[in-house]
Amino acid sequence: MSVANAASTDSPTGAKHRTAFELLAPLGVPIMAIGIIIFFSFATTGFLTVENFTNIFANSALPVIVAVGLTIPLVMGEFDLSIAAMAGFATILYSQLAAKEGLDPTVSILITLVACIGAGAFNGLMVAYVGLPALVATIAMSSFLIGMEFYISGSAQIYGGFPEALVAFGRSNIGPVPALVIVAAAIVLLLWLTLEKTVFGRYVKAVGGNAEAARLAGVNVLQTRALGFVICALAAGIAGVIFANKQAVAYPLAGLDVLLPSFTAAFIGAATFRFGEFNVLGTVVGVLITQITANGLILLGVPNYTTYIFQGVILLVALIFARVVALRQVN
Amino acid sequence: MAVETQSLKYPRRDPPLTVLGVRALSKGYPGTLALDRVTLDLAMNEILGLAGHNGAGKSTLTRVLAGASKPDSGEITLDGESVRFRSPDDAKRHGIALVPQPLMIVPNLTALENMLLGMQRRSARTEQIRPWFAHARNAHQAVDAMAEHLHLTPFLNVKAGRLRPVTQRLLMIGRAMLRSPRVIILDEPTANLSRPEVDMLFSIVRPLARTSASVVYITHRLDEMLDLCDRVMVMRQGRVIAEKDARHMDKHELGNLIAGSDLSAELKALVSGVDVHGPGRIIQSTAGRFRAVDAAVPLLRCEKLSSRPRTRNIDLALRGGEVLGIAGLDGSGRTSLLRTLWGDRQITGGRIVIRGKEMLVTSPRKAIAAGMAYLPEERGANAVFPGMSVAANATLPWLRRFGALGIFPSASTELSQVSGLLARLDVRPLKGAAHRKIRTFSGGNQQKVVIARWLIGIADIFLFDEPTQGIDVGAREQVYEVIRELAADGAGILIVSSEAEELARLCSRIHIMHSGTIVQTLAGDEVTETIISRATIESGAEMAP
Repeated sequence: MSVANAASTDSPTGAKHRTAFELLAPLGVPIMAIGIIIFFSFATTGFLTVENFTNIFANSALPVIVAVGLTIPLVMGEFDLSIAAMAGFATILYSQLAAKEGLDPTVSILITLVACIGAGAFNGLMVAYVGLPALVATIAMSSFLIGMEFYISGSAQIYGGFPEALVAFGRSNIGPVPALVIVAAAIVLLLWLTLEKTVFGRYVKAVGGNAEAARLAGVNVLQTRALGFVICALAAGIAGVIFANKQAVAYPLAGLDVLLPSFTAAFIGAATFRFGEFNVLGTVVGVLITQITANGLILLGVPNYTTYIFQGVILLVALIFARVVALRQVN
Repeated sequence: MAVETQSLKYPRRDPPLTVLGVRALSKGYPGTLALDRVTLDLAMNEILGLAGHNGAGKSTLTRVLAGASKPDSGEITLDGESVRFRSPDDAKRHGIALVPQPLMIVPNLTALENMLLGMQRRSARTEQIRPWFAHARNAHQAVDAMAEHLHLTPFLNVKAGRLRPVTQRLLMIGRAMLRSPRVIILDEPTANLSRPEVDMLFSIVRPLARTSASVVYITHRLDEMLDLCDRVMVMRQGRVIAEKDARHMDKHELGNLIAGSDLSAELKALVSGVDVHGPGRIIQSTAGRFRAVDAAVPLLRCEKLSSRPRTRNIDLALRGGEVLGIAGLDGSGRTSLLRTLWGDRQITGGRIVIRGKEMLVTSPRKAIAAGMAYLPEERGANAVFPGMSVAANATLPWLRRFGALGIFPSASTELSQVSGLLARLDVRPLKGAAHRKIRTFSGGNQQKVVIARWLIGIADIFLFDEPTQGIDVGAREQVYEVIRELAADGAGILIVSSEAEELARLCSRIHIMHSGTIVQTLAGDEVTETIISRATIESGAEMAP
């Protein structure tokens, strides 16, 4: 007699198709990943080896930190285009302080991260409180930070004088696992907890879902938004500092190349695990896919610029996929 | 001879020509059968009323008819020919126009530009309008004629966002009519409209139907449906359960058909349960939950409260146990008053006194801390987080109380707070409801979740803005029951409604608002549907140009 009964007894076939589609759709990204791996393992030599994959994971660590940070503004329906400049700025500032000025590494790291938090807070202030579009505000911040890279370093390359312990740590393994992978995993866990288990995370999702309703339900929307930008900037800053220690050399504009890859990863992530929703673990999978592709292309021996072409294509494919799935769900 | 007899049998018109036919249409979603072998015939120039609960299948049926959703099985015919709509645009080309419930206009374009939107793409099929340039002359002529019909002429060059809701609605109808549709589907066109505005809308829709198109009319307001429609079709659980000439039907019968006999019995049980405060109560007895206050001190008092330009010099007092109504025409400032009390508007004068103490309510957070709760109008835009679970929707304002350090809310506390309320508010389907995304529920059930949000906390001053807007008869009665129980427990409820009947049933006193201020107060014997309607209409008449 109940509704459920009625549905189960004479449910039309369409309902079943839809269920099958919904079951298959979340597998789209894993299937793509497996496809890529299979392709490269046949097309190249030395791709499907433990060393190569350890290498891929190590290379993914810093992009992962930046991309999961970016995920927070994305969940809120905002975005931050200053992440790459923020990481580069952190690299230069830290290198200048620790390597050139010879400041205590801890103090250097603290000053650098506080500077990044300040820049992130300014982004948040402009977007949330002043109401500027994130597109313009974060591009402006990006330009400002690039300028600061040259100003701080006096346009000179910084090498030598990096704290040896940190340089060694950045290149070390703990057991078979690169140390940076463990650092990245800890940050991923922290951000996953923040987004999924804390009150703030719920507010972030509420603001992304319906900012007006969130405000009327007593959520401090402006503060939540601003804080999202701060977290994003902090993650980029941490990645920038680690990058400086790993490279033990710094030069303006030679920082982490993470802007497009981070967005690509996050959008691939939005088509993984939970459809149409940016999520931390999905972003991690997204980074791995972009890194595996980049690595495979290098082994394939194609020219360097091919990576850019592929990254653009992957971003578009991820966007189209997420879009098609969203459309199917609405129907 | 035989023909003569026929026409005597059907005095309304000659053998009715079926314009739109639907045969055994079914459509399933995971877990439910939204449409179950639905059959209907729409005659030429007929106005067919479509009634039913939220979730009865009305929306799905309109979506299928408008090409927005594909049926699993069944057939749609137009003028006897089988058709298949590949997209909403395709349905439009076939002459089916849907005027959806939300007001969809482009606010920064003029009424004229709004009417012309999308016209550039008219196919050769309709022939009348093909302006490749946005301001082509022949298009203007067609629009002028339509505007004349709909009394829109004076507004054509006004930005649409500045028009009143009723005018915006007419604009949407005009835009649909410009395509000369065979069938026009009006989904809840009178939501947010006051009675005189509804009458005006009807005076325009009726001749439109008689001369140029058949109409499918959807509303939750029963008397409107009986007033306007020739025939009424009632749906329940995806099926058509009754179809009747509107002249041979009264409000009571229609209400029963919509609610279904099983639900009526349930409602009776609920109502009888209230008197004994027994297990039939919707919300747990909260007697003693509300702060004991001196009955002489109102829970909420406004003194010359202003938030210009929308709210001016409001004096009111809300006592514990009282349901105070606010009536008024659209734009009279009712919503702004509630928003001002909720801390969402800048107060430009006067003060808010809560339990005898002046409070500076400058944000919704402060309003919540002061013991207020606010149910906004426009549930979709202002209250619901579509991608979040029902539980997350309900608990959002209270998360900080649910767990360690106010940072990590405990999922089990959250669930225990919500699940009991969902059961008592009769959210359907209940199984696993707390974890399902709220967008998978019908409007009435979503509204119950938003109400549950404010039953979790410590509120004893409830600001309800159109609490039963767009929800079905059964859910509506349950909302009324919640309001009565809250009052019985000592809470104060301030309720804004466009429906005089609703206010008459719930309230002991009613303030009538106009131009942002209270112009009249009804109490005692004056609180009847007729007097409220009349006072509301007159409040507008005296100020009208």
